[in-house]
Amino acid sequence: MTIRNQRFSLLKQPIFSILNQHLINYPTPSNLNYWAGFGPLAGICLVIQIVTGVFLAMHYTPHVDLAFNSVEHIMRDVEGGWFLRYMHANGASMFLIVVHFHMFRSLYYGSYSSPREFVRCSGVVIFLLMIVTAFIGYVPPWGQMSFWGATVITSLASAIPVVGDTIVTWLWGGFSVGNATLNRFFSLHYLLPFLLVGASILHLGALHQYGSNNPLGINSYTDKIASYPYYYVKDLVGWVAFAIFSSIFIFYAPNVLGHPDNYIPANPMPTPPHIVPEWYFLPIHAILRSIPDKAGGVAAIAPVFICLLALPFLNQSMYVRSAKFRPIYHIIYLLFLADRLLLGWIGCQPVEAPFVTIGQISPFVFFLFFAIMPIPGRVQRENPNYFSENFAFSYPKK
Amino acid sequence: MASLMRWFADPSRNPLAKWHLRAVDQSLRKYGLRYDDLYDPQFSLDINEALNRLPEEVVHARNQRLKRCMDLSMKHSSLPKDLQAMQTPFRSYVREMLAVVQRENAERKALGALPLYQRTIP
Repeated sequence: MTIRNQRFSLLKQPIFSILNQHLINYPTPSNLNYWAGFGPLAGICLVIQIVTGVFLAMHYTPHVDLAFNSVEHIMRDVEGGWFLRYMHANGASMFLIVVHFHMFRSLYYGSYSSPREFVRCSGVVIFLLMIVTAFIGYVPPWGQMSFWGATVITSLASAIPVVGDTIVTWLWGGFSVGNATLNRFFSLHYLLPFLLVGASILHLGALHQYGSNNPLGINSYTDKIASYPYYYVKDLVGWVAFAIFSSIFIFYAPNVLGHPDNYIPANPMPTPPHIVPEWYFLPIHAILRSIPDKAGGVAAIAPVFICLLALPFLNQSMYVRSAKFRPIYHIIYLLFLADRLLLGWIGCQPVEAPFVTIGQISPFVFFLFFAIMPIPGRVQRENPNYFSENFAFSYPKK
Repeated sequence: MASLMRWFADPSRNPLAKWHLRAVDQSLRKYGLRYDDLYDPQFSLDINEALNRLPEEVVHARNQRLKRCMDLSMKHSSLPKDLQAMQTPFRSYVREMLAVVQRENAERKALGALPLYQRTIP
């Protein structure tokens, strides 16, 4: 091959050709709607959190005597520090809103089902990593909620029989939440987002094994288009809308999603009257509180993630994916969504009547959704002629 | 249990089943699809095998319906009413062949033979 014949296109070179194959010329179903934009938007949120986090870490001091004041130093003295801090704090909330939309979209259109089980499982691992990162990221500001939230949640590990107390002491790095805890939480909070990046690449790789699902849940091999420029432009609309939405919080109401007690420096002596986690933990908090026994409550959290992981395998016989062609599932899905919102509301209510009763029914409904998933496939197996031409009403009388 | 399932799915005895069938019928007519068109060969290799055994014209007609449906979905529209009335959403063409393929695979498994095809991971 002579120099004259060589094609110098950057997109044909090694590494860049992989980027071209997966991000630019990737064949995508032609009928994706705006709900499909929440996946790439979640990636954008991760990048924003990493960039703002790295710049915040340049000015933050992870020591119990200095942490709170270093955050105030960032807010008041560092040029643009207030913007970085608010972008990072509200960015975490926005990230979780986007991921929730992404998960509920996948639930509605059946994107979790075969052959995309690994996409689902890697997504649940990403969700778990996000939750852990968000939890330990709430500790570095070292306010009252940071300290007491860390104390309450890490103390849950003491419910583990025999080794519970040892595990809690190991987690704390001492006999209570202190300097050792703050340092290790800050270190892990810096590390985990990079694990998240790796998990996200795995998630995308698993998706690209079979390609994206589409709102109809059908095989889309008959009509695919290149990802660039069509879906880049479509996603750009979503990114601009997201930027406007998050800007409302960052510039006009930066503390509305937070707790005012976190502007009080951490003090191990006075316990705050209401120790409440951040809003994105409230549904899990509600499930935890629904069981009066401490060990029972802790044990109830694991089934949440087990159900999320097991979802693709619960519905093996149901060949139809999307709720567009499953009207009963459409109604059950809306009830599940309403229950999830109810769980979030219950999580921030005090433990008294009638919230206690509602708080025990809501988790039951949550798990019932997963329990009834195998039923449609079973009914269809017992009635193979159900969707057939036996029913005269299907066709108009001539 | 089986009789309960059969009652549940009988539109002449269960009003919920009747409503459900009508709703699915309307959704399929809107996009000009048959119920069997929703069966994705990527979902199960048995479906892929069943489609491979069907006559070519049946598979071509299926592909044309799928392409038309994708186009309608992309434009957020539906088939004209007169065309919708002509649709036959519950006319089956793959389910019988799928049942044959599944019976054959079950027989191979019962005899201890290796499967003809297997899913790769992921």
